Amino acid sequence: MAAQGPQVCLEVRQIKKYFGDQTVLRDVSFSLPAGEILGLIGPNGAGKSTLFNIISGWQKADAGSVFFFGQEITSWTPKDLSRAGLARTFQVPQIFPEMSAWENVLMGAWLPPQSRPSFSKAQEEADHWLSLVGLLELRHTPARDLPLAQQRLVELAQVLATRPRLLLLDEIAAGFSLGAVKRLAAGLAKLRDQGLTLLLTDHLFNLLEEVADRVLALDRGEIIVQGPPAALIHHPDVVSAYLGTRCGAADNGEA
Amino acid sequence: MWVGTPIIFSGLALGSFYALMALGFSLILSVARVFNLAHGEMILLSGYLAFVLWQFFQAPFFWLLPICSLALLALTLPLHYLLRRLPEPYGLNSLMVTLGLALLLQSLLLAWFSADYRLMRLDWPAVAIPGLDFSFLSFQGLLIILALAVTAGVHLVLQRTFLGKALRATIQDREAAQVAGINVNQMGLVAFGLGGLLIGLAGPLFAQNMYLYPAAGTEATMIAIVVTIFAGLGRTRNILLGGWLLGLTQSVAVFTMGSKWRELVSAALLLLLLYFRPEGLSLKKER
Amino acid sequence: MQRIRSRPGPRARLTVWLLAALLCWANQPLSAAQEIRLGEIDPLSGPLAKHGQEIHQGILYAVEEANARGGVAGHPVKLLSRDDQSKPDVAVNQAQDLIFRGKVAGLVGGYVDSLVGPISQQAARHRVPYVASASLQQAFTGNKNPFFFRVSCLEGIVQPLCQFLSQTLKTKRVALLHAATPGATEFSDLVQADLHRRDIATVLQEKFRPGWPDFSVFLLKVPAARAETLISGGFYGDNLILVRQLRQRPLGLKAFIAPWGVAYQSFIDEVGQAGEGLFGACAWSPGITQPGTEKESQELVAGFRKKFGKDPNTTTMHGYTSARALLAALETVLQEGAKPTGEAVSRALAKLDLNLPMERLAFDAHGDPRHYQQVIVQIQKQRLVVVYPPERATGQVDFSLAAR
Repeated sequence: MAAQGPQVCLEVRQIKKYFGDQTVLRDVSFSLPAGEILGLIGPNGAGKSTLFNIISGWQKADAGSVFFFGQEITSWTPKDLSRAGLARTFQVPQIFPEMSAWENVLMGAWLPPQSRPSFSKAQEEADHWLSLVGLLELRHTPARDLPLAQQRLVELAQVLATRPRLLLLDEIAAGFSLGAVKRLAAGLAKLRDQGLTLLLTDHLFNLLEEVADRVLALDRGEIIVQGPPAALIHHPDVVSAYLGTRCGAADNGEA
Repeated sequence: MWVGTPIIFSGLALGSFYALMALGFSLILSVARVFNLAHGEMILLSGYLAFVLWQFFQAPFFWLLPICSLALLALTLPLHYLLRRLPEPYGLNSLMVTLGLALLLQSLLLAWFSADYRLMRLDWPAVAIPGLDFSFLSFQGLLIILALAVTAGVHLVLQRTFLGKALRATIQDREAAQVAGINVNQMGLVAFGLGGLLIGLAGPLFAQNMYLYPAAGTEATMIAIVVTIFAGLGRTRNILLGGWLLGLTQSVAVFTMGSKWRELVSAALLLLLLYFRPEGLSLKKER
Repeated sequence: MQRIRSRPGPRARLTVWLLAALLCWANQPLSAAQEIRLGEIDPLSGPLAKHGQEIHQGILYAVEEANARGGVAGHPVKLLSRDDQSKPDVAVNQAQDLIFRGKVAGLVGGYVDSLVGPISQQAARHRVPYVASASLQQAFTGNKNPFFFRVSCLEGIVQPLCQFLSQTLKTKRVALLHAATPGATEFSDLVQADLHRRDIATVLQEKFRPGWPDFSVFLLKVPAARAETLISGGFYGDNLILVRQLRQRPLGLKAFIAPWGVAYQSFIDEVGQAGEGLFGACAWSPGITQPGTEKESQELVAGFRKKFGKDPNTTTMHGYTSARALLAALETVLQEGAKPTGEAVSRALAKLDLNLPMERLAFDAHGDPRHYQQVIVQIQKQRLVVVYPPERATGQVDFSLAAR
């Protein structure tokens, strides 16, 4: 955008991805300014997960490129991206089951030697991130004894401890109660205000409604609509994409 | 004196010996996922070093422990770097390399020291417990104390230090550790370093408890494997418990049933343990 | 009809001539200076390496000794040594290699019956004489294998041992600990039976797997069973540990006796003071030799020391004796001008009668040594003293030293 405007954190240019003869992503392009929360929405099979994986280095695009603060990161590995400040969470939380919630977050603070904090500093950070996600009282509970929703929050806190500049959250609020969604939204908004950029995907609108600045709707591999969440929630194209997925299947005789 | 006292003490000393043999192996296996078939030969190498220092330099036994401990780093650290350069399938290839190393070490020891049996002749005074009418050998006491101290030390490092926690994370879920930004290769290096120290420590103890000959490594590797299976991966305290359990069972079996039942009873115990607790001796159940 | 008979073509004639030449060459007696090959198979690596190396050195010395005299009937002797790595299947492969590729006139060597057995089968199948250096089990000479001979046997150990226990030590209750190998198990059975005939009770008998580092629990049971004497059917390494543990915790025993592993100077050196008063069994040692062979024995020790830098021991002598037997048989056959076929050499072995330092070597119809008898020794002042049988004794039993 304009030179005086906010920095562009993430720029995705014409990403294509095929699986066999199926086109999963066709020419997907968007840009995400720093300090913004962008949501990515779409029905199952829209290509959200694939796009997510490509941006975060877990899958390779067949064409197109990705830029992170102006640097091309298209073929970078997740390890490189993490060091550069691009981190993500997973639908199945990648946590350490036998370690306590607090120890899990502490592991996020185990950065490469040049940026690693001292043990006491790291412990302070772990406390800080745990209280941000509201789990400070459960800090000594082994992670595998926590319900899935709280495991997701532990993973979030762990990822925050890696000091990311861009955070990708993969359906983090799935299964959360309304109250939990609101609390999470408040936390994420606070992070955005502190300078973090966020890209959230979700299957449903609940979290994005609360906190996203802008939402992209994806259907069958392409962006069909973008705009503020309120505008998209009743947008006919979005609605029909969701409904269409169910009816279209019956119409076309697919399974 | 109850007849059980010397048997139990004997069993604990033997079990401590087993645990000290197994600690290095278990650590390297849990963190770096390397099944080190040259483990016993490395202990033997350390034992021969202790023997040479004792025989030609009259080094006192307590000096041998730190010297041999550090000396093995010169072997395990380069081994780590060698193994890191192997292509996929990593597990199988590292198995082949360590097997080759075992054979190489055995041949070297045969060439350097001949096949003669070597004994480290040290007099360990008996220690009497007043009021209990029981005396034990100070070497047995040393084994038990060392096993406790080393296990406690490793446990503290793993539980209380930043590095230790990162090691535990790598043991529990290697992929998640990578995702969390932990350099698992570096963790492997640490494991080989720590493991090397433990293997080096076991050498003089092996030399003193048994006798040295070039083909003895296989025996030591077997002990390490069995105790590691008992304990489950990455559980330091369980190595000690597993070793003690094995040592006690064997001693009791030998006393009540006879020497020839030792192996059978150990095998039966192992099978039972695997059947009822596939995760090893850990008391916590996996969800 | 007239058949045109063609003369054999040039190629055919050449073939016939070649075949004829080959046949003549194969059947002719050995020309002078044609070397005789002996095959040796021993555990030179693996857990039994120490003993295999010692046997190997004994055999090597005998061969070099023969060559220094001009060989056997003028033919130089070449020794082909093979390592069976303490494994029976490797032993078989090496035997076959020596027989077919090496074309050896005879086989020698071997330590423990699990290795000797397979080799003796190959010898029988391919009609090659085999003189085993160390074989104990009775079964081996049970089925008449005319190609198998051995210079040692269990009876030569069991008999003197039991006589010593009964007549000299006058013990009444023994504890018996032996290794779980076929040879040691058979030893244990024979000893128990013999002792039983002499009214000596075996109050405790246990078997252990070799390589076990701790006998302390077993030793706890010995005084409980009120045994007076402990017999160890374990090997060198096991006895190192037993002796050490006995010293650490004395049991009030009259004596400790171990037929294998004690009667070695290297054992005495390793255990030091802890070895004083122990009893062992010995077929030969420097200074302990068949009557009438003292000079030969001394020369052997000197020559061996010069070549290998150390003294020979009883294991070495088993190797030496077995090689001497084979060499002597070959000499006999070759001097008669006959070909050293398997049958000829075996027949010569069967008729052998040599007075060697280790024994008066003659074989019975089963291939067993007729006159193999070990002597009982006691370690006194770091030396081996023969204490039984009386006609070979070089000293008296020191009972106070013997107590454990």
